[in-house]
Amino acid sequence: MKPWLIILLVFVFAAFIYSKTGSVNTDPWTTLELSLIETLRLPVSYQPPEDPSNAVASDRKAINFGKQLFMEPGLSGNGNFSCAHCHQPENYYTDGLKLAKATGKSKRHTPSIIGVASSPWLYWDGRKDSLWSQSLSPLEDPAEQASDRVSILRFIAENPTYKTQYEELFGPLPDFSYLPLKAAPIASSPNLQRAWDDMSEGLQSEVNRAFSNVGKAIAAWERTLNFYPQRFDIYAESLKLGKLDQGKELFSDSETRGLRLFIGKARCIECHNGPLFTNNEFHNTGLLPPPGELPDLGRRSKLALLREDPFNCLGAYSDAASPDDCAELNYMRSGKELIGALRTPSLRNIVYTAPYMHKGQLPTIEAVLEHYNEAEPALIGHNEAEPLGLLKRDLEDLHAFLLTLSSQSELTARSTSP
Amino acid sequence: MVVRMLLAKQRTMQPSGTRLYKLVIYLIEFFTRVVIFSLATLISLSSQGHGSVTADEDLCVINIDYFRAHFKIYQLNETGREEFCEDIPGTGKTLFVMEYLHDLLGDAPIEMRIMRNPTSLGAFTKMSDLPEFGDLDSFTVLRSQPVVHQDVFMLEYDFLQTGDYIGLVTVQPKDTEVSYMAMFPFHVGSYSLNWLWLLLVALGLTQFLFWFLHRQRDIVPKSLAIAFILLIPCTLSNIPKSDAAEVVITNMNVQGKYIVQMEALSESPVINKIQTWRITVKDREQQPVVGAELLLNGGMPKHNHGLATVPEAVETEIPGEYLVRGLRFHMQGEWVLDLVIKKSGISEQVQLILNL
Repeated sequence: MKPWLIILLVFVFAAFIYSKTGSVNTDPWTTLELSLIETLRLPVSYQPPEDPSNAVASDRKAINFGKQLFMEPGLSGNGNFSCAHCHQPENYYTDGLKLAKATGKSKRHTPSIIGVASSPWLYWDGRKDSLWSQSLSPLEDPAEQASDRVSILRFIAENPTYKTQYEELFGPLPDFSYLPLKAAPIASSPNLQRAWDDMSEGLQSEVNRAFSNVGKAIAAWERTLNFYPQRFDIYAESLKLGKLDQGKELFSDSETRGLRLFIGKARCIECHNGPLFTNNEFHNTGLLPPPGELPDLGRRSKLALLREDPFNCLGAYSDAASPDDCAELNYMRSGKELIGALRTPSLRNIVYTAPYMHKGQLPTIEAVLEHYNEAEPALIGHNEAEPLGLLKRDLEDLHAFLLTLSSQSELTARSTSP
Repeated sequence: MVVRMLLAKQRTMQPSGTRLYKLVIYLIEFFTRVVIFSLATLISLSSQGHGSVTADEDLCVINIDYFRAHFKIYQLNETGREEFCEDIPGTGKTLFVMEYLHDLLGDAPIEMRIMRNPTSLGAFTKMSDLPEFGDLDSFTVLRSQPVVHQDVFMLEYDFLQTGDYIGLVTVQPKDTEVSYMAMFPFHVGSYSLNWLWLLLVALGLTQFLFWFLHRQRDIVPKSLAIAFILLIPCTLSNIPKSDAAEVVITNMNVQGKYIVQMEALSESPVINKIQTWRITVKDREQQPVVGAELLLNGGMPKHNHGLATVPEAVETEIPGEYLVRGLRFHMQGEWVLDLVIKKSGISEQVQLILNL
């Protein structure tokens, strides 16, 4: 056989293989695909589920008060860091850093807080079971706002606007004449701990109650941070209404292929499901720790902390009417599959929330897609993801689709009116 | 082998090939052999373990008396995710990981000591040699505090020098006076010199075989035979060994004593939402089964994970009706639910498959 003929045949064969392997096409959607796409669509009227543990969760006054507290740097130990220092409205409530930085350097990456009111668990490792309980932790975390509960209550009491708003919502603040200047049960701060231990149980409980109220107001405001419908949602709506022609105008071929991969071969939808593109569950995906750090033990290592947390749904400061209101806590799992498992984040707005993952290890969406495509064995525990064998072209299509979940206009709207 | 056969075939077709052609064929065959031999030797050597650490197919297990744990060593900065069983390629930050195969290890204080190997026995150092070392502390480079590591033992050490080392793991199970110890000798730094020698020997041997074969006329069967011999170490190292941790789900519903029906209450089954399901249990005579204890477990076998929650079943006032509370599915797809029905001391398992 002539050499040029062999070369020609090889080329033809390679072209055939390429066309077959990149077989995700823009054929009409199947009924199953349409039903899956509909599960991802964000309804215009989307509201987070009720929070029975927070009596003021939907109170207008609490929302207003909470917003002021969220933006208030005076709540921090040195008066410099508000919640918005890391959760910046102009950056989709993230900070663009690998690891959060305030009074010190945090151990984890700042997640966006838009839509988090829909999650039964907060933090990457889910060590909090409500937004109000979560919002109390950074206030006292030495690496974050580094204050203490007594100082925070004093700050509110000394500010007439805050004091009025607080008392209108929750009744009188504790009588500070019986309280030390600063105190909190933080073992790593011996002075605060000692001052706390010296307080009577009654006083501790009174301070805890007032402190939890601060969290409940902040949470009420955070609950209003919901996603805006994006181009994907409009596309999904047009598919729902049977307006396929309109759909074709809204989505490019690449975006359509990306969506098909997302709900099919790429298996993204298994965890990034529902209108928020997250199941809010915990999965080990075999991420490498950043240089110099040990692998993250994840959800499993925080279960005891969550159960014993005085600010959990079953605790004394929860407004839940009965233990039945705390279904997630009552029925939570604790198996070994949670070793190294971290919470699935939403994919909405991700274009503007880089870097990614719990330590901000992956700088770009491309890197994240590559991470899941390769799905290498986890250092600890078991990587739930499996290698996908997607081609470069598939990854580009997936990327194109992910871009339809965020928009510059939403970013602008949030930065002008948080 | 295919390459070789094709080449052999081509040779018969072109008996009067040029000198250059012959040389190319010669070189290709020669290097193929070297590569096969070296790879086979490398694979067969690298899957061995020593001391208390043994290699089980692709995973490494440490035996601390009757306790077992997966044992892995990483040098993240240098080699990323590459796992080492014992010997590590070079100095630098090194992470030792033990994932327990025995739950008791999760609440037992574990101590790890890393020390220089004072003997020249290297990988052949045994536990029985320890008493001869005298004061262990004088060789010790790192000794971790005996601490309980709940799920995974992790210890990092920055090796500054290459050479032979010994690892000692001590476990003191909870509420006991006895402690158990495991020892694993290992080497830090590559055996680059040794490999060079091995490669030289391989080259020499291959050269000899090749020269020997070329003197013969019936070259094809002989080269096949040699290739087969060279491949033996390869196949040997791939003989499957028993895996340490295997979970087997058994379906005890052989007799099919009960008829079980399960349905979501009020709304159609949705994902990511805690929900209550109604289970109706009847016997073969369609009579409701009253006073049974129901245990529900499940997961997605295709994803190797369980349920997102631990649901509870309670009996209602309606005979044969039970309510399962706290059930949440966090993915679409096929869920397999294992329902254990306990009545009068007899358990029976029924498997229910649910497609979401």
